[in-house]
Amino acid sequence: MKILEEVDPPLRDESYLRGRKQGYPPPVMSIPNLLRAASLLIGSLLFGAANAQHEGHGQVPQHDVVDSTVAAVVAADTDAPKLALEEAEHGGRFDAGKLIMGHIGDEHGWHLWGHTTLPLPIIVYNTERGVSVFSSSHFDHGHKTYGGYMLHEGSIVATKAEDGTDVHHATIDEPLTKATWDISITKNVMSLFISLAILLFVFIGVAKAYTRRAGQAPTGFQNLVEPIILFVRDDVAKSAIGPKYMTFMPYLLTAFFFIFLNNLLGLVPFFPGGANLTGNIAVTLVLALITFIIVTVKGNKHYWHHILAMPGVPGWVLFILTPVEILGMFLKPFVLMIRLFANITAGHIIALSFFSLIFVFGETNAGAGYGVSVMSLAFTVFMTMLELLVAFIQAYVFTFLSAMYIGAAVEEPHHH
Amino acid sequence: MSGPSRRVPKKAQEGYNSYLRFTGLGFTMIGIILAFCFAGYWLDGVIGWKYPVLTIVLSLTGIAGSMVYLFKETSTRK
Repeated sequence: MKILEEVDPPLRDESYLRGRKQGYPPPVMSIPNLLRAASLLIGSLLFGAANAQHEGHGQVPQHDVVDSTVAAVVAADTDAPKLALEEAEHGGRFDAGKLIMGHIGDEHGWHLWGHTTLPLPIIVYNTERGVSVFSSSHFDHGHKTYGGYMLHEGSIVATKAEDGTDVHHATIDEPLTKATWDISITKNVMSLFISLAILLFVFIGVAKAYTRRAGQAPTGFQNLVEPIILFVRDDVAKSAIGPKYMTFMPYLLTAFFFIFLNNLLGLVPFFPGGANLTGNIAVTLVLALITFIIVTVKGNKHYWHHILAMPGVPGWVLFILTPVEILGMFLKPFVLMIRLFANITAGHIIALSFFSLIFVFGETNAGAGYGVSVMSLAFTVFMTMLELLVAFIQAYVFTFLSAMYIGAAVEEPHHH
Repeated sequence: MSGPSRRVPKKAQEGYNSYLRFTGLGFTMIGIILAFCFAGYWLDGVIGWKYPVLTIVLSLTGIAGSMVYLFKETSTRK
């Protein structure tokens, strides 16, 4: 009934607004709210559909129902593991593990759709051959050699085979491969550049708006980022660091927005999203390393005194406590690194696993595939929603814990 | 986004933050025990005794250390 009332035009006029002003509770089931919920749902379904299409390419079972039944009978056989392995090697069967690992990992070239891949620059330094720069399209999706290099399980290896040789006929040159340093612009590096461009565009714009419209109400992007900036300042920096918080605001804000944006970009299944940047341990390592450097460099006498010789602790306990404290100094950023990496990667694995279920079941029976897809899709929608929350929470947790470690390092001595 | 600071009373907010403080505690404790164990194992290898005394002693020290660490981290800060 409430919905019908909402649609009724007279109710949307001033008397309705007056009602709102007089402090009546706002209707819960209002049209705008319903629209919002519906658009969220549809949006996430589209997300799911795009994901399905994306994941499904090439892996959708090619054989018909009869063939799959035969495959099922064969699978029940004792020789099944061997057969399955052989089939997997020829790319006949759907391999969920390979699909998932391919998606959470890094790659040379950015897969867009079907057989379309955005080629990315390959930059290789070899101590004997020097620097080589060429496009990843020369590798022909990892099937061909080029410039004395080829792709082997996703990484670049050196070979002595001629350009354009099929990788199955080329042998890996171990000593040369050991002398090779791959500094290519991979999918993750490209994603990093894109996110940097977005961050710079948004924040330079916002910063300009603050100087141009000083003292006025915020507009545009200012509305979006101002509450988050204030949140990081008040609830993270001020509460964890104390009076000296202002020195560390640039780092905390950068870390927060960098992690948050990349977590969100990782949830977008198509270009320019889809790279698993914050789920890459090298990226989280660098982030944690920056926190570690700040804490170590900015740590005051009080902080070092507490680590090396905790005041008010008997000598024999210090014998254990000091090594433990020194270990803790390294372990804290280490945990910071693992937490972000594990949370984001786990989210990606779960969402992709639900999708893989469709094809795993679809291989045994087409009907089962369709049946499972309903549940699968529902779970993926749920997981995507959860991941939106996790994207924020993990950015918050990383920033807050960084702020806490910094806070412990710059804390002034109390009167004991 | 700035919701928690406005809606949640200040005291409750501090409570959440202190829970957050302990999220890495388990991993840190595991890390401490492992580090002591490996240090003992390595030292035993270096010294070359028949019986791995240092592995046993240092792994137990690691457990004690992680307990001391836990106690220190959870005790109220002055």
